Amino acid sequence: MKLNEACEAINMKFSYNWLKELSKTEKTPKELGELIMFHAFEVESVESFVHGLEKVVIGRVETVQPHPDADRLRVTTVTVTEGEPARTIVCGAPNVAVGQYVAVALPGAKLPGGIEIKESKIRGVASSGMICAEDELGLGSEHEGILVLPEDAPLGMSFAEYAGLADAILDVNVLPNRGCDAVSYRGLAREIAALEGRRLSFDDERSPLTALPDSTVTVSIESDRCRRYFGILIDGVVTGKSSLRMRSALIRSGLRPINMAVDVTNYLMLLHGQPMHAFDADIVSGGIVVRLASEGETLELLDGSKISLCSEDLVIADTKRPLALAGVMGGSRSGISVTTNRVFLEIASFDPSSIRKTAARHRMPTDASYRFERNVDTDRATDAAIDAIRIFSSDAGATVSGATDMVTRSDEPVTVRFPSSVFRNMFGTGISLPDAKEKLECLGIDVSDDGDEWIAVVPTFRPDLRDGWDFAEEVGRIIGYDGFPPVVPALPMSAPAVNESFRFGRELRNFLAASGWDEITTYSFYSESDAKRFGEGLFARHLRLANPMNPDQAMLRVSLLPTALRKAKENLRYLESFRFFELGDRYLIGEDGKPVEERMLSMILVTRKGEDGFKTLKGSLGKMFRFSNLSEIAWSPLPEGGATGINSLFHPTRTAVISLGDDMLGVAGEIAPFIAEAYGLRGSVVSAQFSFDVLRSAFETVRTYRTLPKFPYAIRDLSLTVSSKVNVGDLGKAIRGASLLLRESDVFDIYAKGEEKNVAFHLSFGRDDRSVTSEEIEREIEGIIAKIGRAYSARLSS
Amino acid sequence: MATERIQEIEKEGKKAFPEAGSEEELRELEVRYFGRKSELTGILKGLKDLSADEKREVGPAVQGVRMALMEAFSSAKERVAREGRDWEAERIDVTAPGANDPLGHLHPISLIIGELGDIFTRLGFEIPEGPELETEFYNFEALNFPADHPARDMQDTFWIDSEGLDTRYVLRTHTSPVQIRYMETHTPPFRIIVPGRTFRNESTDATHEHTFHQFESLVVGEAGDLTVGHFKQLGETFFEAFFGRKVSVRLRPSYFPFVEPGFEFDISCVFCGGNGCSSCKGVGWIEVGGAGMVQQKVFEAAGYPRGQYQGFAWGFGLERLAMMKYRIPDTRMFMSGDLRFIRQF
Repeated sequence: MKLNEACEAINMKFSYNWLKELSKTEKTPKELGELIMFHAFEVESVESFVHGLEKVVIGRVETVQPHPDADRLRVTTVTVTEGEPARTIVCGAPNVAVGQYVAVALPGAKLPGGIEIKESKIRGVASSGMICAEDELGLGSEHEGILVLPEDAPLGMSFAEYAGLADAILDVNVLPNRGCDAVSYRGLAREIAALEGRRLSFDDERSPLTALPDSTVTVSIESDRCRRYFGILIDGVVTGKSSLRMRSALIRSGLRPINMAVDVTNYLMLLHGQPMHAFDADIVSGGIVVRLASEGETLELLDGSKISLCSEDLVIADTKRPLALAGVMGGSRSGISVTTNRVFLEIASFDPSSIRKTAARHRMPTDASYRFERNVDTDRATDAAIDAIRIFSSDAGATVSGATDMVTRSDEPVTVRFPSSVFRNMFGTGISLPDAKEKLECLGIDVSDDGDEWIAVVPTFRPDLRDGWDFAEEVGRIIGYDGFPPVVPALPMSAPAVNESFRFGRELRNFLAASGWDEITTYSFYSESDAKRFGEGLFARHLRLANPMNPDQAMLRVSLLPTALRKAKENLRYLESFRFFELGDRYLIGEDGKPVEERMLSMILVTRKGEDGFKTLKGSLGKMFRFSNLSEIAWSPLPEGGATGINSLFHPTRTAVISLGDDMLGVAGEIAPFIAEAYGLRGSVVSAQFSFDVLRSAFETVRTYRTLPKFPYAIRDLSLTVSSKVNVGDLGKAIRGASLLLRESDVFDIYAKGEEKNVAFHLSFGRDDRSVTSEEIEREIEGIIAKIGRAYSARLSS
Repeated sequence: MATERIQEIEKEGKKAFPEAGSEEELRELEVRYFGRKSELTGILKGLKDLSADEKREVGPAVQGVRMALMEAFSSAKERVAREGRDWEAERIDVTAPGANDPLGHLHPISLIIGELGDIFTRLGFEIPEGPELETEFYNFEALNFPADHPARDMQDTFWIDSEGLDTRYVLRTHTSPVQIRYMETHTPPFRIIVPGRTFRNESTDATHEHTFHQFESLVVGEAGDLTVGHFKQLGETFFEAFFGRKVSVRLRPSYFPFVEPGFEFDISCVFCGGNGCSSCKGVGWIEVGGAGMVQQKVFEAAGYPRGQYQGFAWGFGLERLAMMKYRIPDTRMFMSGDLRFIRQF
């Protein structure tokens, strides 16, 4: 089942170090990956993050001298181990200075960017290593100068370890029903703790929200699709780089550091699962308005695309125009730039369905929209806001000058009552109720008993838990499905009803294969030009795909013939002659305007040059009818003008309608030469098309004994000369109708001569009460000739 | 006297027949022993002149010898016919090809479906089928895909242009709609499998094909009668029958809207038995598909009261099973219509 893709599991890269810090797990990355894999989510990979930083250590610049032969180079000495002599390193960076703590790549290092460090001479000066810039360390694109570390950086320490880069990355596909909480470090850490039997709560760490004056940027919510809007106004330039620690965390989680303001929003989104957006506060004119867009309003987004909004799109606007597509992406005009002086930070909660529709409408799935679509509860903004205020005012050195918090609908914990029997019903007797309760409590769910019912209080971040079966699933997976061994079920004895269609399909397939027919399958759709060949009337009854893969597969087939002809052509590249069939469905708009689906048997036979394909086909079909115990099969020529509609691809005068009594079973005949040519086929191609259900209902499955003849039949040959226009089938039928003693007849020779042909029959005569006499036979034959002679101008062949 | 003579004749004859070297000699011997003027015939004719006692003695003796010699004669005749013929002159070239009598081949998916049908019929399952052209209701809504579920988006589903139609139709994305169709007309307990053609709107490569086949399994009984352990047992029973070797089932958490809990269904590697090999990428397990315990909302959509029944279901790709069973490397082969491929099965 490919449903995982269809249901959109969300992939997120998690840093092991960060998860460990939050969850307090003692497991190794590999063990942690397995724990998650077998109890929570699929883990695609667990990989070591450090690549190429093995020989990069922290050093201190001791001296800086100009290079004797190059203006732009400096000769430095750098200590990497206290007490040992400093090493000489030639450096090109303009910002290198004495006393700096730097990242030094020692000879033998192979850096993430691909640079290999060796002992070398640069313009005549020996250099033993390299002082690294950020891009060379895989920490971003900056190459303006070397990376300068704080002075408390421990000398000689591995840089990877120092920057938290000695890490493992867990690539986790969070299941779609857990997009509400587990697409965040806190969410997954809570999950890990629960799987290890601990309840993790972040409430204790929560510092109170600093009391702040109202933001001078006002907020008004005009649509209930916005449930909470927490706005924070930050003064001071915050467009510089974020801390190394933050950048490192972002990089390890697969995000690219951009600037202080953006990095903080991304960092907090990863931590809390709460997307945020930073506006340039000076661009906001007259306050923030959260509203539905007007039809046709336009907005240029951060990625440069210009979109036209519709009245179902929720936007963040100012009093003049939309600034951002709410919950999806910010606009380019109000984004953070190098000239930004004040930032207005948005921490909001939106209606999931609205965000999903907007993201889908504009084909714009973003990290933010993924999370909002799967519900970000209104509670989360508080924690995110506390962290944001702390980080901006401490690390960024900015001033938080005001805040506004608007709530239109607040999420509250939900109480669910359910019978405790769900656990045993789902997992059998091996599950204990106290154990189940403990597992749920580790997930942050408070459980109490009320007789046979349980009462569970579900925190706001788990809107996916709403009935007993939801809780049973949680308990089952935390225990682990390996904990429930296979058990033989006690099922009632029953003789299953036979699906006749399925059974007949198998029988028919087996018969056809034994008779030399190979089975293929072809697509259910074809092109518009394939469809047009069936004439205007039938063309109009085709069903069309609204979203085809390509124009060649845009129409649902009303016949299996076009795709079969195409396969015939492909096989002619390797084979000279072959026969194949397909049992598959056709689809069309029925007389009543509703779609109809009908199973068909489609057969194609390609013969060697000179072989009579129709005859071979008819012989094989005759065998098929005998197999099904059908005797009164009638083959009649396609009526005048019959090669139209569904039969348009057949040769008008070399095609038969096959029927049984009043039921038409199908058609068989040559493919019209111009059609064969259109499909790139040379020579004679014959085909038969049957309605599977008509065939099935006609097939005689009941076998009843008939008394064997007691007296032997007497056989006579009869050769008649008739006009070449006379159908042999009609002649045979007339003969059979002309004698009461005639028991069997078959044609054994047809010989054409000019306008006429000789048709030779074996005729078997017999009686039930005694042997027929020669005189009786003579009389019968004379009678036949008399009747046939009149009706068909037939005479005895000379 | 007569009896002694009869014994002598037998002795002579039993010597003469095996020594005869040609058809002429045999004809002479035939006349000598069985002809009208032969001695044995003479004795038989003379029986009427003998006394009753003599008749009783001579009659059976002469008949017995006659029978024994007839036997010797017919084996001598076959021997002479075999030895005396110029076989070389009659030689045909048996190494030349025979007349063309074509044998057809079933599509590998048909073979797999046939095998599944046999296994599950033995286990008491019915095999209903359903339409490939499905309504949005059966394909999604009844299976608990909420109206704005991402799986209904354009990229996964082939939607039918609904202009002029009564409702929205799709080419079914799974065989699961038949769960609902079956439940609408049946009451638990029951067990079914549903094989059939399914569609996903995605580009094709060695492991993806927009037209493929699934088989659904659904077992429903009273709540409490069918647990996760029973489901594992069914899985093991089926896969052991299908692959003809011991198979273990492993379930991992997953999510599909129409089941709860949802499982990823793994089986121990059928090539190495779980020790790790190239087919299972060294882990000893092979992922076969999605499964789970039937979500109560699905029962409700089929008209069953909530909570009364419980069951389990899976939906596995038939191409995947065929690829494992026949070692087919590329899923596109199945729809290729290439007879050189078909004729291998």
